[in-house]
Amino acid sequence: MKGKNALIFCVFVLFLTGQFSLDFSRVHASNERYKVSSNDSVPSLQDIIDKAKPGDRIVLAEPKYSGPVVINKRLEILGSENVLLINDKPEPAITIQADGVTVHDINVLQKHAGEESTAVHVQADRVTIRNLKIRTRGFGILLRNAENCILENNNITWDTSQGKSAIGQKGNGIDLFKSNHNRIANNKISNMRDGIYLDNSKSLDIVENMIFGSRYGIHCMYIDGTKIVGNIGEYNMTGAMIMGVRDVLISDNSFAKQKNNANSQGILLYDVQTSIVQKNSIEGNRVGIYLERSSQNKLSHNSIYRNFVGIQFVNAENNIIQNNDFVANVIESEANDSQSNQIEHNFWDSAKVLDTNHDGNSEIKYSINPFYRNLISETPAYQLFFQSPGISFLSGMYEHDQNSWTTDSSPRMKLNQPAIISSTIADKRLLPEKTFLLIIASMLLLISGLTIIYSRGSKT
Amino acid sequence: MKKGFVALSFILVLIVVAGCGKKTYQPQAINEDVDVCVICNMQVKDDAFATQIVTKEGKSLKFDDIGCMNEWKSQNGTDEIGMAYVRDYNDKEWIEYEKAAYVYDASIRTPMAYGLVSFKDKKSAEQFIQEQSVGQLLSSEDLANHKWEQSKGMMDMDMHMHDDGDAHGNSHEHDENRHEDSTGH
Amino acid sequence: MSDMLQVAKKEIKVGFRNPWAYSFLVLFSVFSLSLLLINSQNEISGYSGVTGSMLSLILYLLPLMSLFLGSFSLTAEKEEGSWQLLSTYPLGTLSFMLGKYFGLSVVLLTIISFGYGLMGIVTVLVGKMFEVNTYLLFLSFSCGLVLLFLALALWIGTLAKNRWQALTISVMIWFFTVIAWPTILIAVLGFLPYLWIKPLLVIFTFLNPAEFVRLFVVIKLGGGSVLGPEYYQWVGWIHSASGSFSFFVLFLVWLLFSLTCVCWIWERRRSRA
Repeated sequence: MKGKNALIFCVFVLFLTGQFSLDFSRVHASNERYKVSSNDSVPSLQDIIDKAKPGDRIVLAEPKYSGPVVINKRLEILGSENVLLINDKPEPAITIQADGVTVHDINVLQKHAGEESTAVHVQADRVTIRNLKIRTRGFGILLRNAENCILENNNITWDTSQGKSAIGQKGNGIDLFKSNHNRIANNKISNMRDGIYLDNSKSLDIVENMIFGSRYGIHCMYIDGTKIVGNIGEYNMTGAMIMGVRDVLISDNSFAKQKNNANSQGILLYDVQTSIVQKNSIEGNRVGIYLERSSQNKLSHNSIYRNFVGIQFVNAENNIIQNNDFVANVIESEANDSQSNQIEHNFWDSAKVLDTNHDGNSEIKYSINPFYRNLISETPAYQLFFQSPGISFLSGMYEHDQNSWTTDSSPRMKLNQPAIISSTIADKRLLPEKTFLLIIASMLLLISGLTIIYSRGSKT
Repeated sequence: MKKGFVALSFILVLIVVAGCGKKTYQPQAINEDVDVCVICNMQVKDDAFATQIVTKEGKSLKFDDIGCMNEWKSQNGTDEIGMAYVRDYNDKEWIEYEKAAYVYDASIRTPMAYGLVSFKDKKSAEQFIQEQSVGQLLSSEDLANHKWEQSKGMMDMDMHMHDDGDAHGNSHEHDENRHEDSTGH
Repeated sequence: MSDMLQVAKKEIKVGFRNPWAYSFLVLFSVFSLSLLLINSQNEISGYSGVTGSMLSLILYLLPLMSLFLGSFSLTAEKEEGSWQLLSTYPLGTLSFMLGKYFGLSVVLLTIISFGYGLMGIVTVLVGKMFEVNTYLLFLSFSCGLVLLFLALALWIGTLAKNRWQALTISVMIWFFTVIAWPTILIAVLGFLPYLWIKPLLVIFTFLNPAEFVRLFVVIKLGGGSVLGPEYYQWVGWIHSASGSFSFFVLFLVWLLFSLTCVCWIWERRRSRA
């Protein structure tokens, strides 16, 4: 960085007025009207934008610019991985007020902290934001009344350079409000409050984003007709918090390791109607899928592995739950007040199954014993008994009224989907880990064997 | 070791406290790390919108919005309630539900969009109405007949605070939309 | 000191001649192996269905094993008259009890080591994933559980007159601490005011080795959040290093208290005789 600082870089601005098909050579060759020397203090990006005409393409070549910036005409602003926009004012580093603006390949640092602070604020339609690396002490990207925008390949993290912050003080990574028909894809968001927060925005595409270490990975309210596909959430408080929606598709996502908070879930569905949750992989969470006050949803072909509780129903009626796999969960399912769901053809690895007519489904029903759930919802203190041998014993005695239990009418005999393998610990540590285990185990066996032989042998 | 003893003695003190102070209810502090709303499962923020019911047996139920508390009451009845608490809008002090003054307007932003804020006395409520130049003063008796409408689309108020701050001319527009929403609901 | 070693040596020798020891060894090995093989497509790490059922197995089997072997050993001394003989020698009661305890510990820990050794080798041979941390955690807490219940067993052996009585009391204690524990607590605590339930539950948990060892393992496996918001502070504290230290202290207090009491009773009986 420093070495490059010594060189004099230029800022090239090109008049495009409608023509996008311009190659780079011409950009560099054309003009040097807005050349800014880096010997001065950090140049203000706003000055450059003010001088540009609508339709211009601005290529940023300085290593550093200062914000805040208001873009109120149609521009394309292009940086590179070495370009940094620093903003220490309370206003957003970039505010986009004109339709059709494109901003890409810039590092943005929003230094001002607080609820009012945000790195990028979009208030216009058809805006494209791509390859931005945002570090913020407030929000990441905000969309307000913005339609048909594209947010792609951005990287949003909480700025920890000024010390750590409690999750309540942080802002959301991407935050939409009254902004319909937007596409949010391939973004990487970490350590924010809510990774992607969607409110009152219809028909969005939320595709292949990754969210780590935040409060709620994807948090949405009133986003009817949205597609949430192929996203990954790990180590958040809750992977996806879906509330107050209908006709949403949640498919092919992976939510793993949401387990550190006492209220963590993989996917939480609250007041969700006529939506589809399918082919998700939900692994190692405190509660895999939590379904409350939701009806007429279809949950199918999900792989629910190694959670403390696989699936939990609370006041959920008339949902279809079929062809899911429940494997190695400590408790596979808990339910209260949820009787009228259509649950069938799921694979429960602890269910007693028997297939007499060889159709791949068991003729023995699998019922969810509600004893423990009822016990702790009255007195949460009894959660200390979670999965204690005594509780299994007590639940086993409480078998009356089985007809009102949530029941899988015909459990599958075999997995519905290929088994998933945990992504985090596998691969590279595998070999030394195994050798180490082998050494320890052999030593244990050897010592115990020798002790037995020695003490039996020495018979004096 | 020390910690263990501290914890143990803490428990003993708790038992004594629980044994002696049986009929006075105490609101618990909000712990943002673990407290979630009993009704909507959202994290309860330690702010002026948090409310709490302490049941007759001493169980503490926390809500992120007074509307959620109302929802709980309509589901479970009021027989078990020992004391309900709301918070003063200005200093976040816990106040008894019956003694508080309330201000309602659909445009007031609260976590679950019920548009109700609470004050420890009528005076500060009136002051709030004056400052905001919107709002309707209500007492706890008036709330019994309140319609409890959610203005859809303005949940989690603090997330949209900045709209107010940035004065780009669209905050007014938001307000209008909100009114439409609340009437259409 | 040398007296104690003598008693311990004899105990080890007798222990490995006892068919009970081998039946428990076989039972433990067979059960743990079959549990592993049932869940063969899953790796074993953290708190999951596999580790959960392993934990249950340990809680069912190991306390019963310690109680039987420990209490039988003491009642045998009484029944066979060897204690009457020994008490005429200049052998301290403390040396005798400690020797007994150490000898029995060696027998029990050998059984566990054998089981875990076999389990470890088989998992590697079968090509399964068993995280070393999880393995070591299980090993150390099985040992802890056995040592705690061995102290209880000495109590039983002290109070029981003969082997049959010891058997009855052992089964009773095992049933009470492992299986009936929640049932009894829920029934009793149900009569108390709501606010008393949690603190009393915590105190009672400290009194039951099966229960606090189980909770400690669950929390150390990363499953603490399943205990809910009520125990959030406890979980955070136990998960830290000072939690492990306190657990160790609790463990020692438990052992020292039991052994002191048992010694005292034997000493009194001896002086009366």
